[in-house]
Amino acid sequence: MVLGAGGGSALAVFTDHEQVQATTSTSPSFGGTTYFLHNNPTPPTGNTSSQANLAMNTTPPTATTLHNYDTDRDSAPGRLIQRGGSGAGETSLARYQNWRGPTAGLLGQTINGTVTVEFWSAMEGFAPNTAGEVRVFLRDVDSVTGLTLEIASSTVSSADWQAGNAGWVQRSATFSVNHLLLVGHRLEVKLVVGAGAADDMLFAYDTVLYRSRVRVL
Amino acid sequence: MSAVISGGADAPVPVDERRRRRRRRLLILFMIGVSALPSVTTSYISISLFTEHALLESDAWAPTPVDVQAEPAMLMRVDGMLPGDEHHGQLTVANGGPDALRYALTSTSDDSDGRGLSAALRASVRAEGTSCEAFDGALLYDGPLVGAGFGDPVAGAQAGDRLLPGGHQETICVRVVLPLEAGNRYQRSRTSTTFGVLAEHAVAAP
Repeated sequence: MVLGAGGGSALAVFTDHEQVQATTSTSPSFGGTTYFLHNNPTPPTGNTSSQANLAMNTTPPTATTLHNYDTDRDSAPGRLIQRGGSGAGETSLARYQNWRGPTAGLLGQTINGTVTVEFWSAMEGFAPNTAGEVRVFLRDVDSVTGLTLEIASSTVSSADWQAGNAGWVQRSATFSVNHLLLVGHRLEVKLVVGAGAADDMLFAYDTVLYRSRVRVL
Repeated sequence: MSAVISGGADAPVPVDERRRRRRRRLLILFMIGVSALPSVTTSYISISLFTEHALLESDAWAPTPVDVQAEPAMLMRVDGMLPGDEHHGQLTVANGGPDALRYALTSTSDDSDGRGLSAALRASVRAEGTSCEAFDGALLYDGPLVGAGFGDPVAGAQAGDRLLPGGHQETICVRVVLPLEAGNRYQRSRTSTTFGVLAEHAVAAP
């Protein structure tokens, strides 16, 4: 944009003006329990290969650098998940990432309320104007047998995932849950990139700036 | 005896007198011509000089328009902030013109829900430094998100204005924090901030 603002004086003063937007909103509630999604080791101190069954707990991230969490897949910071994962039962680590919470105690753990999964993500290469689709699964995992039970699922999609943002984008999926985790069971979050995404997608977590997390209210 | 020419009803004019008058007229004309000669010469020289000095470039006095660009359009989009959360964005300011420009960053916030979230959020603005992730560049602003910015859009050089040479660009890092002490009154609140990059020709408006 070029705006010429010449006056009647001998020296015309030319000016120009550009605008950018920033929107910020807070959580509906500051209470509840928050589980932060971590890498292994945590806090991250360097690059790692991709790993299944990462931990989520109430300890906030402290790392300031986002490392590459999948050196076996790409060289970019964060975790790359290939598009086209089959769903909650996806077994190829290239097509999913999961985190598991603390093991329920003797009395079990009741989850009754709103569960929000907030995650930082981007299209591969931060490509603008590209469709993204993330499928989020909440599951009950028996720590002993490894059997899983799907509690809820949701799909977050957008025709332009980056929405004008050149960096990481925060998205969330919200569930209404009433479920009892029996003794020895754990809450699991599993992310899969659906076929509706036009490309593979990146995920960021376990840093001060990219606090991907699960909130139980 | 002098000759006399008779002329109608008028009195006759002697021939000698008529010759004297003719000589006088010629003399006057000659003197006028002689006196005009320097003026004509000066004018000719002046016109010649002006003609020679009129070889200035046609655009020598025309300042080129200012062309500032700011990317991306969406600096930051954050949802579900909790006390203690911090988020960042980075802004690239480019000078698309050939001449140096001077710019200021301003902002206006819209708290449509009336809760004043923009006053509760803390914003820091830094030059790029090592990187925006490192957030170690020169501090340009530190305070409430509402009113965040640096420099002054008023014409002329003002404290805090940043200079950007022609054809160059620089990155500005923005970080927003919801302080831990933010109370429950800020739950489910929202603010929208418009940052403005206002630039002017650095030469034309000293």
